[in-house]
Order: sequence, then structure tokens, then C-alpha cells
Amino acid sequence: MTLSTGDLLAWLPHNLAAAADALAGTGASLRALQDELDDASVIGLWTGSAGASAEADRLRLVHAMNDLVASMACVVRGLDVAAEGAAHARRVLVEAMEWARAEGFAVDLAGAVLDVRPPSPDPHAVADRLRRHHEISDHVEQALVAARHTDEELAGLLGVVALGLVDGGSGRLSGAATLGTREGERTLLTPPVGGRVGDWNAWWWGLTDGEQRRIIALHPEWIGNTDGIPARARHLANLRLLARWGTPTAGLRALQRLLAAHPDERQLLALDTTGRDLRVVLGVGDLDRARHVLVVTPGFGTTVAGDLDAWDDRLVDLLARSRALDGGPASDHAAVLWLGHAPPQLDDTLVPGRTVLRDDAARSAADDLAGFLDGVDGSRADDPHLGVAGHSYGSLVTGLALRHSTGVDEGAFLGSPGTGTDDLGDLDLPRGHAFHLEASGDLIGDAGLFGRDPSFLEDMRHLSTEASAEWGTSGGRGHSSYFDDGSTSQHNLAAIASGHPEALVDDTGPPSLPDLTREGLWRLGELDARLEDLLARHVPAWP
Amino acid sequence: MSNDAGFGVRPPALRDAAGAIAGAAEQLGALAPASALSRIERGLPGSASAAAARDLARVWRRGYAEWEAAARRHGVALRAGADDYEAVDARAAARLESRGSRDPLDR
Repeated sequence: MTLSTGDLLAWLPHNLAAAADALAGTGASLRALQDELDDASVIGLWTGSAGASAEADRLRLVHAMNDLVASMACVVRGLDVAAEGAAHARRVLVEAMEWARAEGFAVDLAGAVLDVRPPSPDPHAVADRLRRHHEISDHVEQALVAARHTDEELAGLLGVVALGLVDGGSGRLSGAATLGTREGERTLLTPPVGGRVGDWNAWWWGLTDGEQRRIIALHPEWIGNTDGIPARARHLANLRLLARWGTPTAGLRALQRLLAAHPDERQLLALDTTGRDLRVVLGVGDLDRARHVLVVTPGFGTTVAGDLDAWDDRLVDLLARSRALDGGPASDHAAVLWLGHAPPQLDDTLVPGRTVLRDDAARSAADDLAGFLDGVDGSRADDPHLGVAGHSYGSLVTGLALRHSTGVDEGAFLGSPGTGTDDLGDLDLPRGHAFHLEASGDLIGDAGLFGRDPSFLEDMRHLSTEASAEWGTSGGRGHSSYFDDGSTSQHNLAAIASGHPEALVDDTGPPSLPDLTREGLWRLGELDARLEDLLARHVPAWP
Repeated sequence: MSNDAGFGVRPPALRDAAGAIAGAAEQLGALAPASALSRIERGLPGSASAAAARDLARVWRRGYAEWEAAARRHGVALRAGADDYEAVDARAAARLESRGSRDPLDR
């Protein structure tokens, strides 16, 4: 049966709940007949063949009543579930339509979302709008899918009851009611196949609360690593998956220890044990509610087993600094350690596709990071202030991820060997919201391996890593100093994460000699390429 | 009233049993579950569920009426059984009494 947005908007789910309530009352009246059915027994009152016939007749009435009770309980349960399912589906649609209206989109009866605003000249705004277009479309689509599922399941259940296929057994009427209630559960709506973040999010919110709990308990693998699912649900699902592991590896042990030490303050947002190295995405704080979220991607050599605790400490310190700058409640701030990829290790250096000297590993990781970032944004009804910070090889992963449309508001590159681009315009970041930090003595930050050295990228804002008397922060040196507690670089990251640009400390010094050398070589390379191009176009014999 | 050879019966208790099942029939007859199903159409207008609810309402009306009728018949049968046994008993007693105070061995 085709279901339009108009049909779904006309649904009044409270009528299903009212029907369930009325029938529950009828069910209670039916169950109360147990005394009469017992009192009608002639066992011990009438023996002999006639008495046996009378008792057989009574038992037929009891069986028939059991079926009536079970059918009633089944319909009551089915209606309760359908009422909630219909309400959820309708709410997803109503919210999507309100969102569409606020953003200047129109939704037609078939569920198509149309952009009725003239296109923006700003490419970032265009990408952002396309993302919203997709998200709203996905929500409308999934609302209709959930509504169809609700209707099909309820119609199927009513049909089964009408055919007399609900068996109440031959026991007590209360037992028949229990059997019927169990029959009234609907099958789970399976997750969208190949869907986007918006599909998954709307699918999740189209489920009833009980179905969400069933999925966490019985199918945690559906949602544990799924972008677009709320963080709390992912966390609970991943805890289920974590508990399934018999003999944990060193990485899993480190993870279990950390989660046990902070049961309510960490969120396990992804867990992948399939590869050589454990992959984990760990949230500090509440990603479903925090106004400010910073996603940090570490670099070369990082492992869960060896570095999880240290990175967790860094994020805790960073969040404390953000809160101090912001002055708001602690719940406003959250940070994520994104180890959703396995960073290249030292022994990978000669392994094609894994070596830190090439960008192959970063390219495959970037797609996953982009999906995760999109999911942070797409899993929430509001629009959190979302920042990313990539350190070392992680800055390359971050830069490549930002080539996708992700909803990220701030991008910070720390000790970066390159962001994978010569032009910040390639990254989906609002203009003026790309930040670069390079500590003195950071040789990796001088490497300029992947795209133009970030020290010279146009529109990049360069922030200080030196001591600041104004903020009472210390200077950092070398490649591993950026998150040091009390440092200027940590202060700057906290200012980025908490949306306080007025607190940023700019790097006002001249570029370092290695940076200047690198830039000179890059410009020579550019000049050479332009000369080649010129000669190729104007000198026909040029090879 | 009992008999080791094949049957035993307590007619007053049978009437109580008949009253119980008749009471159940009466209570069931007072219920109208099918009417609540009409709310489904109001909740999900034009849906497959609304059509299914109409079918189920018909099935329930018939099913509840059948149970009620069967229960009433059962109650009537129990009561009739009690009456019949009492009647037979009374007839037997009357025949015996009609013999007066004669010595049963006096032929």
C-alpha cells in the first residue's frame, strides 16, 4: 500500500493507544471469568459418562476462552507497539518537515524534498546545503518506511488473530494472556541497506523504545559502529560486543580497564577487532548533548594498547581547559579520540599501503573519519559546534576527511606533515576556521610531505605554541608537545573546541628556516610545473 | 446421589455450576470488543490495518456470540441434568413410597 506524507500526517496514533486501553479492559474482564469457568466444573459433582461429557463441554469452553484471551492480549500488545511506532514515524516526519521549512526546502506528498532557494555562490554553503538536503530527504524516507512497517505489521497481526491462529493453550487464562502478549510483538524493522547517516538516524528514531532496547541487547553489531546512531546507543551496543570477547588482547584489556574506571564518563563509539590492530573510537563526555565536540585523530605509531590511557588523559585535561575558558557546565563539552583507523606503525614503514611515508593509509582512514564526523552531526537534532584536530599523520587523515561534507565547524592541524592539499578551499571548512600549530623543533611539522606545508597555506590561521604571559601558559617544543597540560597549544585547542576565537593566541613569529626552505622548494616546483605547461601549450615540438 | 456401578451426581451443585457458566456467558455478552477496533480506522485512516481491523471486528462479533451461546447451552444442559436426576429420584422415591409401610419381604 502506497503511503504518502499526507497519509502519515493524517495518522492519529493516540487512537491506537485508546483502542489498546479499551481492549486491555476487555481482556481483564475476560481473565476475570476464570472463577466462573472453575466453578462450572462438575468434577467430583457428577461422575459417570454424562458427567464426563459435561466436563468435556466445559473444557471446550475453557479452550475457546483461552484463545479469546490470548487473541485479545495479542491485539492489545500489537496496538500498543503500533501506537508507539506510528507516533515515532509521524514525529520523524513532522520534525523533518519543520526542519525542511526552516531551511527553505519543500516536501511533496511522495516524500521528495525540493530545494526552493536560489543556490549560494559560496561552495562551503552549497556543500552544507546539499548535506542538509540529503539528511532531510533521508529522514522523510525513513519516516515513511517506519510508517509502512507499522501498518504492515499491525495489519498482519490483526489478520493472524482473525484467522484464529493465536493459540491460548489449555491452562489458566492468565497464562493465555502471557502467550498472546508475546505473539503481539512485531518483527524488527531491519536497518537501511547502504543508507546515509540520515537514513540510519531516522531509522533508529522510527523504532519503539522497546525495539531499540532489543537491538542493543540482541543485535549490537547493527549499531555499534554505525554513524548516525546516537552515541549512548552505540556505547551500550559496543559494551555488549566487548563483553562477548573471551580472551581479550592487550588493547581490549586497556579499553576495559579505562571503561571500568569511568563507567559514566566515557562512550565507546566504535569497536573493531577484525584487523591486525584494534580500532576504537572513544568519547569523553556526552556526545549526544555536548554543545561543543572536538574529534582528535592521533598519528603515526599510536595504538590502543600502548597509548589509550595517555590520550584519554590528554582529552580530559583539554576538556577541563575548554570548560575553564567557556564557563558553562561540564556537560557542554565532549571530546573524541578517533582511532577508527589503525595508524601506520614503525614496522609498516616498508609495507605498501601502510607506510607512513605515503598517504594510502590516510586515504582509507579519511573516508571512515568523514563518516564519523557526519554521524556526530547527523545523530543529533541540534547542530553541535564540531571541531576536528589532527596530530601528525592524523592531520593528513583529518585534512583528507574534510574533503567530504561533514558539518565540521573548526579544523586544527598539529605538527602536520601536510593536510593532503595545496589549497584550503579543497576542505569543507568555513573560511577562517582552519588552524595550524607547529612547535619549534617539530621536524615532522617541517616535513611538508603531503601537499603544501600548512605553514604557507593561504587562509590558514597560525597559532602560537610559545609561552603566553597573557594566559599564563607554557611553551612547547617538539612533535609531542601539543596537548601538554598548561601549554599555549593546549589553550589554543581549547579555544577552538569551545568556540572562543577571542582567546586564540596567534603565532606572530616568522616561519622557521626549514619551513622557508620547504616553501621555496614548493614554489620552484610550482614554477617548474607552470613552465612545463606553458611550453607544452606553445611549443608544439615540446615533449 | 452416587452409584459405584457408574455414576454419581449432586444436583444442587450442578445448578451452581450451571449458574457459574451462565454468569460467564452473561458477562461476555456485555462486552463489545469489536467497537474498540473501530478506533484503528480513526488512528490510521486508509491503512491496511484499518481494513484488517474491520475483518477482525466481524470475526470477534461472531466468535464472542458463539461462545456466549455455547456457554448458555452448557448451563442449560447442566441445569436440565440436575432436574432430570432429581425427577428420576423423585419418581423412584414415589414408587417406593406407594408400597406404603408393607414389609418388603411380605409378598
